Amino acid sequence: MIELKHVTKFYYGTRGVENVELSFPRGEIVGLFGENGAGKTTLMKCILGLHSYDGEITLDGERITRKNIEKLSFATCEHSFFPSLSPYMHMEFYKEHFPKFNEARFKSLMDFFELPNYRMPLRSFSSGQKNQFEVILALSQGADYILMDEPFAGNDLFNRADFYKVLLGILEPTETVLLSTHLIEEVSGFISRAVLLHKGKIVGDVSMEQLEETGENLVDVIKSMYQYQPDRVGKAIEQLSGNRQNR
Amino acid sequence: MKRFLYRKINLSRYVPVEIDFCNEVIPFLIGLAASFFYSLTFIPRYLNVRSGLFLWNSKENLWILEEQIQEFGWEADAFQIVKETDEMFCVLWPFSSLATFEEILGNCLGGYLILMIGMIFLGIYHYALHYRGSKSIYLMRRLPDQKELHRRCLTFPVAGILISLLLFLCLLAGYYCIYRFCTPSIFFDQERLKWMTQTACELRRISI
Repeated sequence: MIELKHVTKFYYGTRGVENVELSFPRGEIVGLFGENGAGKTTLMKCILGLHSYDGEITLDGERITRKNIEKLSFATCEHSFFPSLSPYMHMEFYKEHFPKFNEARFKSLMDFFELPNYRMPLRSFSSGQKNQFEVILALSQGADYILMDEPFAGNDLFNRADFYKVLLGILEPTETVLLSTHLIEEVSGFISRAVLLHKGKIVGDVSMEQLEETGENLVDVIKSMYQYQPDRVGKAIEQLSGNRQNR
Repeated sequence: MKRFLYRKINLSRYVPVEIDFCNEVIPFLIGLAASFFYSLTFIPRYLNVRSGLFLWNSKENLWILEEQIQEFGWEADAFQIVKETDEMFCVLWPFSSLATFEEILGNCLGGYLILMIGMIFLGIYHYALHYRGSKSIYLMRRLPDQKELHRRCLTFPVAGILISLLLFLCLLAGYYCIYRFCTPSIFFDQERLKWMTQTACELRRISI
């Protein structure tokens, strides 16, 4: 289980995340939602140790150090692979550094997504293919907790649909996925829990089971939690057009 | 021990993942060679200075020189004839002034300094590579082996600096030895220097 206690991160006085208390048990697929700048990426980077922070984050009861960091993998829309290396060379690199690297999963996912020749450098891949490869690496690392930060930015609808199916099909019951995305409707079908961030704070944490019982829709719940005003745009347009007429 | 000696060292582990070891080593070796050949310019510089310590003159003028020497308190045989032809002779001229080692050395070893500065920039470039085209720094920073990133980014530049520094110091010592031991010892004689100073003062007094 990943546990976050009073996690706070400020960037030179600007709030990243503030007093976050969360836990991610094994075997869950958790959706992390929030507007741009809500702190989703910051939260993931704090978990991975890429950012310093105040508070405490533990992984299976222990502080995250080099000894247990291999239990975490990360797929980011910024990409963390080496652009001039081929998929094959990545596989070799991962095998060297992550003893639990799942070569069979890597190869089968490469085949499934029909990614180009194993020997071609990644810089020659399309942006969608790069995203797929980033996700393949994260899924094949052999980690227990897979953190994904908007991994499908730039992928088409069919690609994403394929990915969701694959994800559900290949995940072991002990594997946990923390997925940050804006595609709420798309992922609402397969996540087990939704965590909502707003201006660096947790504003909602709902399980999909709960929502099913109450018959609510995730998008509506999120809108209500954000106190979203549907007529906001209409009012703004009215005001703008009014200003124009006055001129 | 035997196993250690026979173990093949994978040098590509000491440069960033995306860099071919040869692509860094070859320019470095070329830099070392260029610096070495450039440093050899010390030899002609030194020989030029050294030749200035000797005086070629016609044999007819030998007595004039001996008189000049005696005038300033030296024995007539203070200079020895180093070389001679039928008409000319060459003597070590005690009035000559010897350039200091620093003056002769000049920027002869500058190539190594440039190489060392280049290695510092290479280290920075190695880290910057992990932000180019992607953020592979995220992967490198979450590897179980904490030293991997720094080993790959710093080993080669640090080794390059140490090798350059070592060669710099060896050549500096070598050239100093040439300067010190190939120059006639009279030019390092404190007595001569004292005498030279006195002579210079005397000459100034006469001229005034």
